[in-house]
This record gives sequence, structure tokens and C-alpha cells, in this order.
Amino acid sequence: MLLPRSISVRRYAVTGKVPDPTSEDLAAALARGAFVPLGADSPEDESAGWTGFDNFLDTAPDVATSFAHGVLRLSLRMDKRVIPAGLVRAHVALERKALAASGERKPTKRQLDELRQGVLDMLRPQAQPKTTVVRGLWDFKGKMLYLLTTAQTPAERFAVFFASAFGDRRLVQLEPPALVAHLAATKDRVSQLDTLEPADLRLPADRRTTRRAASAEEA
Amino acid sequence: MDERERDQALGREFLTWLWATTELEHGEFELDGQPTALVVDSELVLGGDDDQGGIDILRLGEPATSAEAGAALRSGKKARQVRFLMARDGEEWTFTLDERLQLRGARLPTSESEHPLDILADQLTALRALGTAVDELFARFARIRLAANEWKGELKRLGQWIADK
Repeated sequence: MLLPRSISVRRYAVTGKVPDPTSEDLAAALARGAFVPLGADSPEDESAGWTGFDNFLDTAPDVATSFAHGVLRLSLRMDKRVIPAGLVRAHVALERKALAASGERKPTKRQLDELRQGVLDMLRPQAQPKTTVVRGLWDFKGKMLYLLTTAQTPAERFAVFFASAFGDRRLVQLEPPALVAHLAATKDRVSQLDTLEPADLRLPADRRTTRRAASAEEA
Repeated sequence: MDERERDQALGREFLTWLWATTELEHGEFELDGQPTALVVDSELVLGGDDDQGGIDILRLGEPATSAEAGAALRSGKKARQVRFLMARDGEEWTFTLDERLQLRGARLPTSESEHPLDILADQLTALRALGTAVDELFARFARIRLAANEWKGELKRLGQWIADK
């Protein structure tokens, strides 16, 4: 339930209407997007969905336990089945060797593709999915989402999944230019960003005498 | 320089401005309507806008006042990551702010509540307060940076601070 002692955070503004935490729509959106594990015989190699914030094995998160103090705690689990390329190559090589030994002619590209697909189908049930979990705190009061990671790829996948799960709402990362547009105190200056070029913060070259150097000269 | 690099350049200018401001204003700020102390803590990462000249990672001693930090600034580098310590009303936050305004390794004030739900409430309040502080500081910078005359004056202040480092 609690946040870790040390956290890394990407901040996002959440666009669209703030949902009513007691609404059936919100509960349904969470349930619709709940994580479904990859089955051994599933043809899919990836699965993503919401889990409990405290335990990613809990695949039935609900608003009642996830919403507190104006914040909906979200946890997105992303599983990806990875079949090592080297293992596939080794199996394909064995199959080709067996074909050659049985007197078959050199396989065509199509036959090779079928051979490879057959190997993938054989190995898929044995492949353990790699699990990535990203947690976020959707602050209804501040219309913000605090994503507890700074890693690019999972953060981007979270943003895409969030937009698909919660209808017309989307996440806008509060990086420097977006923050100018987001803050009431600066939004009137957004147009200035178009012509902004990085500044050299140093004094012009002819005035770069340091105080230390000046004191040394005086001495 | 593409759009992304330009965005990050603005983040680097903000971090360098903030570092300078903590020193020039003795770490005293008014944030969220309250007196707040903000100082550079234990880590500085400096680099150029064009990635030439490499990256300087300073962690030992007091990196903000080190000779290496001064040399890097005088060579035209800017702050890319800074670890700050913020204190207000007996509570402390430490966090690294990067050029994309992401918070890394943030440690929030320790909650004195006992019930887990109350602890969570304290943590959320502390996280919101940190976000508000970053927003207010960035807004202060952006209003100066995006006003030509004000920025001209600020550049002189920053330039002198770098020369004196």
C-alpha cells in the first residue's frame, strides 16, 4: 500500500474529465483492462493489463481497494514471452540437418519459414514470460499522474494503455515545454518557445575576468 | 538541434539557473506560501548542449562548490542532473531533478503516522508538495526566460556567478 522509501517519478497532466471514483464506468474500465496471463497454448507473445498495486499477481484490481485520499493507485503489468534467438537458430539447424540426411533437396525460403514457425510453435509453451510492472498514482484532485518510473519504454507503454483504458483521457508528460503550457503562471508565454534557442550562460568572452583573477591581479 | 534536444536544453538552463539561484539567494525561497530552504546536495551532472566535451559526474565532497564544477560551467557546460535538499517546517525532501524535470531517487519526509492509510496520505501530500515546488520554481524561471529584457538581465547575473565560481 505504501510508497517505497526512494522513488523515481515522471509527472503527467491528465487531460479530460476527472472520473467519479464511485462510478460504474471507472470500475468497468479497470476491470476491462485487467491483466490476463499468457497461456501456454496462447498464440500471443505479449499481454498487458492492470493488477493490484501491491501485488502484480492480483489480476482483479478494483476501485474500492485502489482509491484512497483522492488518488487511484494503478499498476500495469506487461508480460512478454521471449524465445531466445540462439535457441531458435539451433533448433532450425537441427531440423535442416535432419532434412538433408533424409535426402531432401535444399529447402526453399518458404520451407525455411515454415520450419522456423514450427520451431517457434514448439518452443512457445516452454518460454517463460518476462514481467515488467509500472505503478502510477492518478491524483484526481490535481488532475495529475505520478508514474513511478523514469524508464522510457515502460512509461510510454503505460501512457498508451492508460489512454486506451480510460476513454478520452490522455497523459501529457510535464517536461519543460509542456510545463510552460500547463502552468497558469506561464501559459501566456507558450508562443515564445517556438523561437527559443539554447543560451550561452557565460559572460561574453571579453568580460570573462573572474573575481579570483581580478583579486590576483590587484595583489 | 532537433525539437527534443531543444526541449532538454531548456531543462538544462532551468537546472543551472536553479543551482545559481540557490547560491545567490542563500537557499531561501518562498514556495507554496511558506519559507522553504533549497540547496544543492550530493550530486551534480554537467554536460554541453551538443554532447561534446563529455559529461562530468560530481558526487564527492560538496560538488556545487568544487573546482571541477566551476571549470565545467566556465567551459560552457550546464547542469543535466542536480540532487537537491529541500526543507520546510521541520520536514526534508531529497531528490535528483533531471533535464526532463523527472524526479529520481526522491526521498519524502518520514511520516509519523501509524496507520498505513494515514502514512499513505502523508506520502501523497509530500509528493504533491514536491511537485508544486518544482512547478513554482520552473514558473519563476520560465517567466524570466521567456521575456527578452528580463532574461538579458538574468544572463548577466548568471554569467557573473559562473565567472566567480
